[in-house]
Amino acid sequence: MKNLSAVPVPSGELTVKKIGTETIILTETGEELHTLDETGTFVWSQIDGKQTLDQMLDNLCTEYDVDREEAQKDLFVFINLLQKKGLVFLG
Amino acid sequence: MKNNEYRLRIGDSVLGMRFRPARYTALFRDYLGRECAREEPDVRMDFRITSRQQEAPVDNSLFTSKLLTNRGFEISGGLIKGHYDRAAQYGKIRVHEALMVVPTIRVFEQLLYQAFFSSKDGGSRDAYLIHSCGVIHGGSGYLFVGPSESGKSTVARLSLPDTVLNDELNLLLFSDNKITLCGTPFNGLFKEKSEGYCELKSVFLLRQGLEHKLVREPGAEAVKAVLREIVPPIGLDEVITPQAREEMLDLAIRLRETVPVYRMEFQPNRGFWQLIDQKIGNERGRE
Repeated sequence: MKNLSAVPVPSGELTVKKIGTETIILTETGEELHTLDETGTFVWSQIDGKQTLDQMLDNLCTEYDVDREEAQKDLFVFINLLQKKGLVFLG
Repeated sequence: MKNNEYRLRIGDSVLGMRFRPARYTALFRDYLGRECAREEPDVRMDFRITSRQQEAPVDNSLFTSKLLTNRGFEISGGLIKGHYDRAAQYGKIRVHEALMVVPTIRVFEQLLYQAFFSSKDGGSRDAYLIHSCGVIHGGSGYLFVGPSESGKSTVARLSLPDTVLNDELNLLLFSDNKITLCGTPFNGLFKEKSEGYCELKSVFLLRQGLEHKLVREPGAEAVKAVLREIVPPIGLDEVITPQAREEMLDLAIRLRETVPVYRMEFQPNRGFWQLIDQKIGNERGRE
């Protein structure tokens, strides 16, 4: 279980481009290219190295009017995925 | 050929090439099947074909296997070694003979892609190379994009008697609000290609399927698929940098913003052109 006071931080030199409601992330080596859908793009926009997971969860619930418990599960899954792909680390 | 120099036109650039031994000049001209251009070259290269170094496996990419050294550059474990003087727009390059035979000579062509980008130094960069099949159909340019084996040469073959520019590599010229599709002299599998250019109307991401199918791909997936096929815009004295990768990404985004991108599944018959005419005609009618 993640600590809600943890702060996600984007890792390394990423090139991030917003395309409509989606986002493309190119890793530093250019070997990997990731796309985020609309919700992923919203969450990514919150990852600024300052906001805690708790604050991001508040913003997510406000933006999408969803149940906090469900939103927390989805947020943790998403952050885990970003960590596995080496796109963020938890500070 | 003047002074044994073969001049190759790619878009509005001309590359001048001299080979030693001289027989390779004629060999390369015959391989490409293009007449020697009359214009003065933008970039000149002297190639020394050698077998001195022990033969090593040829890398498929002359981009990712390229290193800068204190003497210039070295590619594919030393099978290509050279120096490029940007101010003089002149390169002196030693190439192992293993790269001058079919089929590996197609890998050698990648060095000329880099020479093409060197010819663009100093000006605004508005021309890019993309792995694709380019066709002029009904007075409009269409680009079919996909990796090896996705069907680019099949599309080229099925598109005759339309004008097939190239089934492997095409040039995109960007101006304010349009893109011009232009063929290149480089060799794919399809030999009946024609020289020409035309305003680009649409891009198709190729996949062979059980039926002809066109689906508009407006999002990031279109950018991702196009990006994979863009040739890194680096010159002879450069290697791929994060800036070059960002430039490629910006280009893919610009392409998607300028013309519609579709996912296309097709069967090996000309029926896909009927679908394209119908679909694009309908969308134009709705605009």
